[in-house]
Order: sequence, then structure tokens, then C-alpha cells
Amino acid sequence: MSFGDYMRFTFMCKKEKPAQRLDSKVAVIGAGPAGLAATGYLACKGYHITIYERLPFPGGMMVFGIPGARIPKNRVFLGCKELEEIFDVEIKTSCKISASGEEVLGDNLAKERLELQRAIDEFDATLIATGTWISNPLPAEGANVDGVYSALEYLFRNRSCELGLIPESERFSLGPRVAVVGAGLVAADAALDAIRDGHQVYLISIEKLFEAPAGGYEINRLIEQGTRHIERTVIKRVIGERRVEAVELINVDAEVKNGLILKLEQIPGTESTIDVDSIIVGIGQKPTPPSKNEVLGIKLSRRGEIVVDERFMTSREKVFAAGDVVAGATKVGRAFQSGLKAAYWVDRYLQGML
Amino acid sequence: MAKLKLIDVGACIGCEVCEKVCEFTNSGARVNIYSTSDGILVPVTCVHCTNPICMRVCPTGAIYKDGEGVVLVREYRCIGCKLCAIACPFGAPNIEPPTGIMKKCDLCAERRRQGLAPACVETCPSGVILYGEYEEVTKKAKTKAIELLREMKVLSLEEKTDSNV
Repeated sequence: MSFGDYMRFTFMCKKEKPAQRLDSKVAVIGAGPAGLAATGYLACKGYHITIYERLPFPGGMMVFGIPGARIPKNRVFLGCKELEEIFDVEIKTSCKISASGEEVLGDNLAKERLELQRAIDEFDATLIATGTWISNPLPAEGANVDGVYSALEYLFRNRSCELGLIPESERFSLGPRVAVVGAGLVAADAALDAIRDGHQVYLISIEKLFEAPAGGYEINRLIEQGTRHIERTVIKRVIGERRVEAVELINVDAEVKNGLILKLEQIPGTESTIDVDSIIVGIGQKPTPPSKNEVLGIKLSRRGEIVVDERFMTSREKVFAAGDVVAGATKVGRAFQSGLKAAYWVDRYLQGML
Repeated sequence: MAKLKLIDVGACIGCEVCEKVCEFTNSGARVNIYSTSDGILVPVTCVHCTNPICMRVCPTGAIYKDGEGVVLVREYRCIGCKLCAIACPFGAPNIEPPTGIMKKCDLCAERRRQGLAPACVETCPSGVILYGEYEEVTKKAKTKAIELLREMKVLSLEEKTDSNV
């Protein structure tokens, strides 16, 4: 027998039909790390699970964000295949669950739309794991010109091309010189993609090398591959009438601790300009619950995250939430564990043990 | 039969799935992602040495190897003296409050009894944790190594254009 050939979301049990079948039906919204981990846990227990995924393939950020060199897509797909074939999980892809009209990155790939109300009414429990798919905008003057992209949409576009969802011709034309803003994993992944595509990359970050949330090693690797890292710097102004032509940089006085920026002040008189053809912004993401406003009694925090209690239940009975949509953008592992913990409580709830 | 677990540390992306899944499964993480001073993320866990130094220094004989070559702890014998933690070059032993007893990776002993692989092996997104029978794992590791050499063009079937090479 061979182990570890793919991501087994059902790692809690053997690869065989569960011994018992339970009558309860669970809806999972979002097939990212949290949703898939929760599904695997509940599938082992014998629940009937339907996953609603707005994108054409499951995997969430593991497939549509993180480059395949880090997480091979097939390892995720094979895990999903096991969920479907052995555990009779229904993965409804290209099906967006919404509670309001707003669109987020990738929604245009959905072929079907379903009201959140239905995903709640038709199931005994519903788990929302919709992640963080809105990118923070570049806080600089003149940033609303062509050639300014979010790191996430850049990565998403590249992954979509690799998956054959979008023709190669629709890759962003970045031009030779690219400024990547940020020092987190999303920014680093975007920089890596840009280098691979032959662009001259300037990595502009508030963080110094070893303060980078992506880890100094990742940033160093980018530098070794020709990236110019400009630290303790922000973009003050984007120059260009219709399209990015250059950026005006300014040095900052900052204090960074454990990945958090505690103090940030621009230093007047330190402005400089570099010519770039596009800007990729990777400075954090916002949670994307089914609605950005409070609907159906599901409370949101001030930052737009779904509020849950210690049992991962939202303010609405039988509706649970897990992953980045609850905790904000983190690492795959934390989202995965959040999904597992939520699933534990979903099980307890459905067993009448809450 | 001897079981072998190998972590391809160089290919690890530091996503923490192993750590978080281990914590969920074993009521405490027995593999932790740590960052070196220059920012390399490394999974720190017991590597189940052939000649475990922890076993040799343990004054009460609490540490032993099972039939599959897995280094285990008899918790009832452990006195929490921490000698194992000092001796281990990988910092694998955890002396956890409130019991003060040594805990570490047991390659998911309970799961193995059920015929399952360790939880970290089953869930690693990048597939960098190799596990199985000794021969199978070494075969996988060697295959991975030559693939890497091929990618780095150390091994290549392409004709060399430089005639001096």
C-alpha cells in the first residue's frame, strides 16, 4: 500500500465506504482547505454532504491561487475524487451561493446561482467556508489607472490559464517591468510567477527582509532570481494618465512586529521615481461571506468576517462557518484545522449533543 | 516491518497543515513549523533515529523502539527530567505542562493500529512527507532526487552544445 500520494481529506478513516450512513444532510459552501477538511471529517462519519463551489474546480486558494510548484493541483483533485467516489460527496462546481448581488473575483466563472436561504433550508446544517477573495486596494494617489492588478487576480488568472479555463491570450500583459507591492505569501507567489514569465520585478514593501510575513528565505530566493527588493518603502503616487508609467516611491519610518505594522510614517523629502509598466498589489485580503452585509441573521464583524461562537456556529441556528472567512487570511494549515474543528461541532450538533 | 518517515524539508512550503492536523488528531502538535533566523520554515519533529540518543540517555528506560522501528515513550515511566530534550539534536521531545511528561511524535500509533498512515502524511498538500515500508520510501525518495537533478539539468539527455563539456 502506498501512503501520502494525495491530500486525503478523509484522513480520519480508511478509504472505504463508511460503516454507517446517517440521515442528516450537510451543505458546505466553498471547496477550499476549510470546506474540504470539514467535508472529509463529516464524510467519515457517514453524513450526506453537498459542497457548493462557485469555481469550476474544487480546491480554492490551493488550486486557484498558490502556484502548482508549491501545491500540485492533482494532489487536491485526487482527494476530491475520493470524496466523490468513495464517500458519495456531491461537489457542485460552478455554483455560486449568494445572498446579495455583489460579485467577487472569479464569480463570472459560475454557471449557476443559488440563494443562501435554500442552502440553509434544504439541509440539516450548513457550513460557510468562502474564504477571503477581495484584495485590499493600493493606498496611493492615482492607483485607478490600467495596469494596476491585485496579486490575487494575477495569480487567479495564471492558474485559470493553466487549468484551461481561460485562453493563454487572456493572461495579463504586464509589460517588462513590474512592481509587486507587499511581502506576504500572496505577494511572494505573484512575484515568483512574474519572474517565471520573464519580467523585471521590483518588490516594494514596508517590511525589511527578515520582517516579511512570507519569510526572509522566500524573499531572498526572489532576490537571487533577479528581483530588486525595495524595503521600508511605499508607493506614494502612481504616475501615468491612462496606464501605469512609473511609480513615485517614498521611504517610511516603520515598526514591524510579528508581521504586524505597528507604526508607519512617510519621511518627507525621500521621494524617488522608478519606471514600471504595471503594479501587482499583494497587501492583504478581505473576507468574502455570501453577503457583505448581515443577512439571514448571520452576524459579521467590523472587518467583515463571519462571527462564530466557540462551537463555530454563527448567530443563526444550524449555520456554521470556518476558515479564512472567520479568521481572516492565514495559512492553509490554519484554515484546514478550522474546518476540522467546525466539522466536529457540526457532528455534535446533528447528534443532538450541543 | 520497519516503517520509515522522511520529510523533504527543502520542498516543504511551511503551510502548517501537518502541525494543525497533528494538533487536532493527537491533542497537541507533535510536529511544529519553526523558522530559522534567515527565514527558512522547517517542520520540527521526531525523525525516529536508528540509534536514538534520547533512548540512551533516558535514566528510567521510558523510551523504546517498537517492532516497526518507531521511537515511543512509556509515559508511566517518564519522570520529566528533560535529558531526552537536551540530547535530541532536533529538539523533538516536548515536555508539556501540566503533566511535565515527555510527548513526541509516535507516528500516530493509534492510527497505525487501525491500518491508517500518520495524519500528517495523509494531509500534506505538497506531498513532502514520505512514509511507508522502508524499501518503498527509499525508492520514492531516490526517484524524487533524480527528478530534481533532471530539473536542474544535472541529468539531461539533451545533446551538449558545448563540445568541451
